[in-house]
Amino acid sequence: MQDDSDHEASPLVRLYFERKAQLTRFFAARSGSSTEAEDLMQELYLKIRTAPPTEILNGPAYLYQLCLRLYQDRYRTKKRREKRDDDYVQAERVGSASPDISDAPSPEDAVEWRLRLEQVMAAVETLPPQCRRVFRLHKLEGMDHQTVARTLGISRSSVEKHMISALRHLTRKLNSP
Amino acid sequence: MSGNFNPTRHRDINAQAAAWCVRLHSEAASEADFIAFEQWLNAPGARDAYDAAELTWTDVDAGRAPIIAAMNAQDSASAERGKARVSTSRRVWLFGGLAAACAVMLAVVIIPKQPVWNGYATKIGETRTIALADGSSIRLNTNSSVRVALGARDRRVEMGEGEVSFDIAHDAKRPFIVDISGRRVEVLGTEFNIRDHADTLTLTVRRGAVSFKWPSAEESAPVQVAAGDQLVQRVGYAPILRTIDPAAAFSWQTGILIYTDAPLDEIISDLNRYFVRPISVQGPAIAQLRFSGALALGGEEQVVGTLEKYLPVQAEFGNKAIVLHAKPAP
Repeated sequence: MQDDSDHEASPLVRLYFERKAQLTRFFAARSGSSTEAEDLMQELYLKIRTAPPTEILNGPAYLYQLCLRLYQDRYRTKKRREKRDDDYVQAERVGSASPDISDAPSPEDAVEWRLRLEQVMAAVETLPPQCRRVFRLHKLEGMDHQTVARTLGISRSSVEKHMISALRHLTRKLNSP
Repeated sequence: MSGNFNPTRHRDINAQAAAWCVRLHSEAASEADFIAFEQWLNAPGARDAYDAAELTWTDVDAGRAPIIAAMNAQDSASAERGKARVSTSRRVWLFGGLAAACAVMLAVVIIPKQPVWNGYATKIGETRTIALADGSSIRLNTNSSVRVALGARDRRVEMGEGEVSFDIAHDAKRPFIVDISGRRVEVLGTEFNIRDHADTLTLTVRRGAVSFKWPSAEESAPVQVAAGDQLVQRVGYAPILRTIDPAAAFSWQTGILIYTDAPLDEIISDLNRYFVRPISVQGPAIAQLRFSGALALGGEEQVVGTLEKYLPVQAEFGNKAIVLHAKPAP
């Protein structure tokens, strides 16, 4: 287990090494920072190194999707931490307790999150009926586009169109003052 | 929240961002898409637009269970009240959704001393995913019900007749226990599917291992069921273990039923769990016809149409029932 060359590496790990330069570039473009890209590559490696071996149909695209999610997790945590630090400054923090930087949500986060969730729910309510059905089956129930298309008797490209308009609609609602 | 982002100023780039986001997360995404996307990110405002779109999507993912609850509440409220009283039904579902959201958040922050039981159920033809506060998720297939209590010492589920998939977050200190009318499945963290239908319990494990106890085994050791194993127990009999491809047992989650050389009467019994209008077969010869393949759970007539295509049967559609006859010789 100490050395990769001793063992037959999993297909994902092999793909990782084949596309290392390409993936690093992708992380740099996504995050806007080459230092962050290096960190993210490390994290990606640990993730696929410890992943249980499963058969992956579309390896390269799957690796890129992992990259997207990895970056997104980090981005979201960072946002939350920035927000929390802002709140501390505004409240002119007293005492010597160090700021809580654990991933567990604090009660303040819980309130914040509840408000955000309330906005998401209100926005979902305003989706047109067919768009709402597609959104639910794909995004919430986890069906892939093809299965949603078959279930609702529509084409795969209509599923994609509905998903795009759902995402646009929700993003617009969530970001309007 | 990305407050510095003004959607009205970059109308087009936002539409593009949404299109990328949907495409890249779908099963249709190719390596070429990702390379083209990387180029697109260089466009002015592209990264901000894309960040906003992704943030919406991750918030929806994180709030999946309460959002589904709110949508269900909205659907049943509008079904019961009709369109006349929109404002009231809206208040009802908003409240329901928020209550669910609060329950999730509170459970994350403090684990209550006295576990609270929560019930979840699906109607015929409905499926439902419930995200639990411990990070586990359970998914109810058609016409199924469970009660859940997350306590400090253990996590408990009582399951009624039906079919439920469990994806259990590992917690060595709090075993996850499922009781199914006298039988018990106990795990620490794993993924498995339980189906209790027509006096037969089927337990399929996809990841990890579980232990299974049934009434007459009180004194003997429980049966260990590992990934790739399927346990089948008929009421009053000892369980049988066999090796299978677990994917088939979980396939209903994507709206597909998979069969390998299954008799038609078994398939019909399965289908009748999903549809209100019962299907029946005429004659034992037809009941014993064998089918291998996948059935997409669309409309009932569509599913029956698939059977007609692959088996020598002909359906007679009535208002209250569907009967499968032998196809007349050509």
